[in-house]
Amino acid sequence: MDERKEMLKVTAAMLLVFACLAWAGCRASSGLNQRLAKLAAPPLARSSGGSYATTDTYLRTLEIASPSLRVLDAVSPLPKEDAILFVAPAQNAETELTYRAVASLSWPHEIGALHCGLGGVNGGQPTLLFTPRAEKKIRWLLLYRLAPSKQSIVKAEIGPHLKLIPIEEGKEWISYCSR
Amino acid sequence: MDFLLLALALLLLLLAGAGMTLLLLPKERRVGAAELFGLSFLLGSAVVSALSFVLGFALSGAPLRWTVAALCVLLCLSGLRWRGWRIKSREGFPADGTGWLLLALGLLQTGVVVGLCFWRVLGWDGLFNFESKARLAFLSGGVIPLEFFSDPSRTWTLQSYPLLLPLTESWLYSWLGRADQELVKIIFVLFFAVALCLLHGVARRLGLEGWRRFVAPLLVFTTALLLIGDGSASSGYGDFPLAAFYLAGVIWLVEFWRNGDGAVLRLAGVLLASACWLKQEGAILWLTAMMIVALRAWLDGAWRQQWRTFVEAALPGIAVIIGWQAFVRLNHSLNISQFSMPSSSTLQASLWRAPAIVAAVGGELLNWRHWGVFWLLGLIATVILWRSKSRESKWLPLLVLLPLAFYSSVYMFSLWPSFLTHLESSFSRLLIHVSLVGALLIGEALRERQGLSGPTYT
Repeated sequence: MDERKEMLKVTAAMLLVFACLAWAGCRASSGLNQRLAKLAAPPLARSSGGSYATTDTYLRTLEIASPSLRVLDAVSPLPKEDAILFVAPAQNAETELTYRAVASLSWPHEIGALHCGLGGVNGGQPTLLFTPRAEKKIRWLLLYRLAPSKQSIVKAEIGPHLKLIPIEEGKEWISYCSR
Repeated sequence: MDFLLLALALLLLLLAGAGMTLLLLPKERRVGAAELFGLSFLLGSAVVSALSFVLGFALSGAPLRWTVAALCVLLCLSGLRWRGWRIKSREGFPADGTGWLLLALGLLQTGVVVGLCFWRVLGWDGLFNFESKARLAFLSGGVIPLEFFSDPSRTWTLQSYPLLLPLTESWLYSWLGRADQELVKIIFVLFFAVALCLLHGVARRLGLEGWRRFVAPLLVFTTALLLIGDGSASSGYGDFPLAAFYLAGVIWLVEFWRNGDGAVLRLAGVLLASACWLKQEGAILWLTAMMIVALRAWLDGAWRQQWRTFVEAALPGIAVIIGWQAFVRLNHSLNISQFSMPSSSTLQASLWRAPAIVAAVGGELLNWRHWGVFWLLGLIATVILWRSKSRESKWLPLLVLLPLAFYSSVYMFSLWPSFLTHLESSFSRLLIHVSLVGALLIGEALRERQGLSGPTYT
């Protein structure tokens, strides 16, 4: 009986020690969380739930409700063999995340990425970051935070910041980099 | 309805894993409920993903799903038949108050991870490296189309990564009838539960008593980086699942050292081969474990008797590594290379990095915010084990130290403009891979202090 009591005492003491450690751990994780949230806010953001919980969070920058479904609605009707180019003003964490979230939703379309270098890290140099394979024709552009030219026909507007437009015959991609 | 379909998908996966476990474990070996669950989930995810991949060359959609389901049931029946239609269970429910307390704590810990999983979204790799491939497989009838692997616009999904996790996720999707970025997290909760079950099982097998049985599971729970953040149990990354596979492999490897049963080493070999099918780093863990087994057999003069068993244990890993690399090369999969090819000239050219790498690695091991006192206790445990009289105990720390040495040395060949930035951004995740074995190390050291000589049952 004494042995049992002794064991219970030791177990209670250990639990107390671990409760303290857990508290310290939680504090540390909270600090770690805050630190990481500053670096990559969207990946660590709170889930709003649902089948598209993560991509909806990553696409918060589009500033619309159900952004994943809106992207799917815009891209799904396009012919499967058509490739798309995602054009953004600059290469930064926000555009990287938006591009990847859009591209991951857009299978089987191949989506390349062009960063215009407007005020970005590349000092004004446009960079073609990812390209679809050569046999796939790029027939559509997704303009992110860039205004389409007056002649362009906007096929779909995915909120105020993302527009799907057909590519104009003979026009250089870089020419879409003007705001 | 979602709950029923999800439960059915997981039940089939567990049946396949239970069948594999029963086939691989020695026939007379009793198995605890917690261990059986842990092994069933680990091997079940490996079997379901491997079957989906292999059968996916010939089938897709409902025929693939039903064929895999039928094979899962068949595997379970084969396992039961091999065992004479009965499982010699060592334990069902906890036998004493401590056991019940451990069960309650385990459930509480798992509940916290459930909360974290559903509170947070999937992390970067969790979505782009794993879930996006699962979604793509689901949309293509459970099979990742070959054209994906050579798509230059999707190199950021790391196409050459093995497919255990994406195809396990897509297995759930195929039963649910939709891709679901929230429900898929159940897999990661289960990996956490598996880790706890394995640690509880091993603590019992080591004969730990009283508070000592609480140490390893609670250490896992009080280490911030294992619960939240990139690579943690709640992030959707492959790092924590890899740690669970490595822990299971090491547990059975140590058991082989203790009782010399070749079947146990084969089970360890299959678990470590599954780690190779989960993440590329799994091949490093497999290699280090196999090197240590071979070295010990050679030093003990047991190589002549054990080489056949060793080859049988190594074969699954060799098959997975060669098979996957052949597939990747045949499909011209593109990979974003982050390291140069190791050679004597590149090593010589980057030797100056070594002191900075050692300092950064030491800094990460002692990073209180990430690890608390975890690795400090691991160091103390290593010293205790190296001073012990037990031969197995002396070898155990190597299963943490050797992978750590490999992981640290790869930054000598980093192609990043700053190798220290590369190390700081990824090394903490690599540490997760060996962390659960670190907890095992601490448990083993406690056994030494308790004065027990070995496992209390066979």
